[in-house]
Amino acid sequence: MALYDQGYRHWDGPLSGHATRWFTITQNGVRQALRNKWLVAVLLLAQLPMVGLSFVAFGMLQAGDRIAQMEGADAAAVKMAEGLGADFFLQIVPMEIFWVVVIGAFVGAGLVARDRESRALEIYFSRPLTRLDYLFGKFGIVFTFSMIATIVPSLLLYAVAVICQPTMGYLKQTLMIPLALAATSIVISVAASSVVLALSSLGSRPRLVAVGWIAFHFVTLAVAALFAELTKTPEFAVVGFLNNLERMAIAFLGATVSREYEFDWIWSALVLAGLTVAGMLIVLRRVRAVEAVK
Amino acid sequence: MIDVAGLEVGYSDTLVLQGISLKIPEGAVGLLGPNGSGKSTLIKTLLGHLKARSGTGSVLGLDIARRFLDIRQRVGYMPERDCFFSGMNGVASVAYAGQLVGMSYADAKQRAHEVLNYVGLSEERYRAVDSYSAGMLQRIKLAQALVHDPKLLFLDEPTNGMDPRGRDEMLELIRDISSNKNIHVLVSSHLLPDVEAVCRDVVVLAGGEVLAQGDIESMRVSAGGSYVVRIRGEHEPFEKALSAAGCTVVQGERATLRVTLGEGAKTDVVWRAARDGGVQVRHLEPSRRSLEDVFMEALESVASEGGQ
Repeated sequence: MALYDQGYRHWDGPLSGHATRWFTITQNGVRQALRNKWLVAVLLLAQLPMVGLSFVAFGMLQAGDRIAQMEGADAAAVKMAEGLGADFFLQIVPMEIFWVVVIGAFVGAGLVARDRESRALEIYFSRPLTRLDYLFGKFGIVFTFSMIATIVPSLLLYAVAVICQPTMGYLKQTLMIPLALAATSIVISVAASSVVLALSSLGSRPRLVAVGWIAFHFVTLAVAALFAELTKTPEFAVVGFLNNLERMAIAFLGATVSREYEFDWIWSALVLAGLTVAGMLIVLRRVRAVEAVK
Repeated sequence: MIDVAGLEVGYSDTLVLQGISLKIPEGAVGLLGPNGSGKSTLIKTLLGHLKARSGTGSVLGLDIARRFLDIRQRVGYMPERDCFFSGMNGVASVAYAGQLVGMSYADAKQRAHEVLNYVGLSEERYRAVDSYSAGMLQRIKLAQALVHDPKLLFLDEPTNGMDPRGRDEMLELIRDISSNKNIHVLVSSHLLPDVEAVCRDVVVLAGGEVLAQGDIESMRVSAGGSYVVRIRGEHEPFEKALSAAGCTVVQGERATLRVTLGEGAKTDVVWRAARDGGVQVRHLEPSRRSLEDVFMEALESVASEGGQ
């Protein structure tokens, strides 16, 4: 039987509007990425710091009980808010940042590079998609996984801390902490997603991009540490991309500022904003339709 | 179907399309030209991938400068080069292409199975597209272009890298799509037999200019009063009589003669020459050129104009 005899039927079903087209890219990318067992393992491992710190929080329950018996519930709430306060939750942030770097290498590095390598951009842009749709779609993929590695353990840890308290006083005392943790997660995920996508768009070999992404952190951290040490100027820490993420977390949480971060958080905010915008502009430039069809 | 006027398109300093104007009718139309003639650039401009420096154009009545997203919604595009969604299998790949046009996941998946059957990839639908052969990649590109049931298909070198059997099947599919499925097709190719096999109309491009356009059949009929003649009897006296009447005679295929009549002459001269030469005319019909002849003549005419 000839091939065409197997039939071709016209299709006249409903089509979604253009506004959600980017979400299709995100949805598909997340689905594809989750088929990678290593990524699933990374996402599970990213929850381990939360489990460890939960045990610490649980251990403090005993102390809270004793204080409540001796000094009353209000005093216990105040003391627990000090013990399980901003500085406690700040401990989880560097670990989250580490896992975001790992996720960037696993997921983000290949997102645009692989499309360039397999020339999939020609297929994307033969569809009713703009470059912004493509950018937001790809951004959504790495942002989703970064948030799983940041906001999920942060808020679960906070939930454990609240559950471990004998009274509701602790919740009232620390109401801003979950908001600060959410803001920190968003800043980490947005900045990291934008930079890793920019690097991805500059290459066409996902593995090389992954190496470049990790090298970017090592190099910027080393340069920042070197200049800060040589000049005794803590502001040089802003050269390190990851330092800025941590500085923002300190600012959001209102945690104690350690010696290496004794500079105004606004510098970190500016650096991260600049890198985020620059990263997006690089992606937009690299996935131009002309580039796609050259 | 496609209307273009004074279209100028280029990459940085190079002007690729040099102010072309053309009207492409519905049905199967071939975009013919040597490599670098501007065929792919024209398609990319029609899809909104490239901006025209000057000129206007429309596809299915939609302005190419302002409504390129609507055009892409209605058009299916099969790119020239191998391209695929890495890491996906055939079904997922075609379904994703459908979703990107706005189809729901369920619709796109169902439709992907249908079009993969249609293009002859039903057996390999669950294989990773990264492992597909060149011929299979051509078929999956066609499936991706068809998944949303477009009104118009742009096929850029659709038989690239295919073996002879695969090429025949691809041309058969294109013929079926254009003649039985009511989908208009624009086939860009540098392979004349491909265009001749599936298209009714043709646009010949070279050097970024339109050399010829129109119905292939009427282009193939010689405008110069040339006829194919087969006779029974001695050729020599017949040829002499024709030459005496101002005709040019050359040997054609399978014992035929190609007779080009003199200025203002009619077929009467052939009959008179037959009578004078004592031969019997068994066959007389207007000579038809191959598309290759048309193409080469168009190229030569441009070359001679350029030389003047």
